[in-house]
Amino acid sequence: MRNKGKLSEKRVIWIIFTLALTLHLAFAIMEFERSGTSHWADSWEYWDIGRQFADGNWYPSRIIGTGESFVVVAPMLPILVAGGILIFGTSFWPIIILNALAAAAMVVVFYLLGRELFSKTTGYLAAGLSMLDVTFYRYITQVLKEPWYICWCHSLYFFWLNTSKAIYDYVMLQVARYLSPCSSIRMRGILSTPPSFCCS
Amino acid sequence: MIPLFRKQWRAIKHLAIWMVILIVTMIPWTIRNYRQFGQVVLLSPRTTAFTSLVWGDAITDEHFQTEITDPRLSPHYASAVEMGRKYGKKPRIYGRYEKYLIAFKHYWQPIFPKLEFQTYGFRPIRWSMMHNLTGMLFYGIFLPFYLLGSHKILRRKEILAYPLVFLPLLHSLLHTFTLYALERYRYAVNFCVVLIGIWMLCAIFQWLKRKLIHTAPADLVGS
Repeated sequence: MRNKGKLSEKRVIWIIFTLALTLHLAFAIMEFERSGTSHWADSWEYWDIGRQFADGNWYPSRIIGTGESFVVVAPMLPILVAGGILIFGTSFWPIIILNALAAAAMVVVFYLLGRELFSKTTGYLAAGLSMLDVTFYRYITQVLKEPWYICWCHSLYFFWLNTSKAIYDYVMLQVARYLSPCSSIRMRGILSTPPSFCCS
Repeated sequence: MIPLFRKQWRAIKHLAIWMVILIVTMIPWTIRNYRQFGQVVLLSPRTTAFTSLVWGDAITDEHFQTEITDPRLSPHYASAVEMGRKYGKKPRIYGRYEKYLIAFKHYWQPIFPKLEFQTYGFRPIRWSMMHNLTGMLFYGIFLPFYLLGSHKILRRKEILAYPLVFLPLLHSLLHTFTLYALERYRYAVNFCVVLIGIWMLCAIFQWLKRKLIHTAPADLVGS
């Protein structure tokens, strides 16, 4: 029974991921075929820095804006762009597909966060909502850090949550152990011990 | 010495691995930044707005220098003037503290139906009807429930959910301080607002359901 439950949970996660990826990719293909790079603003900056990285110039100057001689943005996305250019050439598609993957992963983490913190219903609603969030979709067809950064933020919080939960459980367990002689003497102490301590 | 369990060890080990990966991957870029700027710059010069309080200079100030001294040199000046003329609003440089108040308001604002100016007063922003609608639907409607839910979390002392309550506030203060109160920057913490909002909506729904069942006549409840 336990294994069956675990499998179905995994299946739910895969279904959410596949659905989100399909939606994001479908939108990306349609939107990029329709408007291309006409809405790009800051995206050009990331693309241009990535292109210069791919050429071996690690001290690129800013092309748009006020013409500073340094990179104002963080390096991760330009490095990814450079990797894409070196492997696949100057096509925008590798970065768009990576964006869609990050966005789909973000939906899954959103579900997990909702489930862990509140309830399964909250998780499903959160995943459904983020899957339909059209405001976010427009970043898929651009070269911006948002899909990656947002997915990373969600994952970091989820990771932090699991770690703190484990440490919190451990500390509480030790506190309960320390207090157990008192609780065996005083009935009130036993009654005030949370059920999770009694089970452990 | 209290022995740690496998689960806790695993959690601490994962945390340590992540910290090591983070530090190791940051080293090459930090060295490159040191060679360019002559000071330790974490990731991008934008972080010097904060690190300059402890070491080095704030390099980001140079980024906006032209906008402060001569707004006409700002990359947004032309569109700000053009849009200002179109919608009857004149761009102007914001006051010393006014710019922070406006940035804070813009950070939380779910819709921009009228023309407004961001950062130092020369970055125009006005959304389409569809953009405003989606801003409201996927973020705005959750804001009041986020506030209600936050109150509930704090009152019930749900420690593990505290970051969900405080992250948006901290994030908004950071972006107010750096004047980067753009919608896409807020997206990183939208999940806090949305998750608490959904949870609170579910709680309200459950409460209403219970209340309706209790007040409904017995034959309708089915007993």
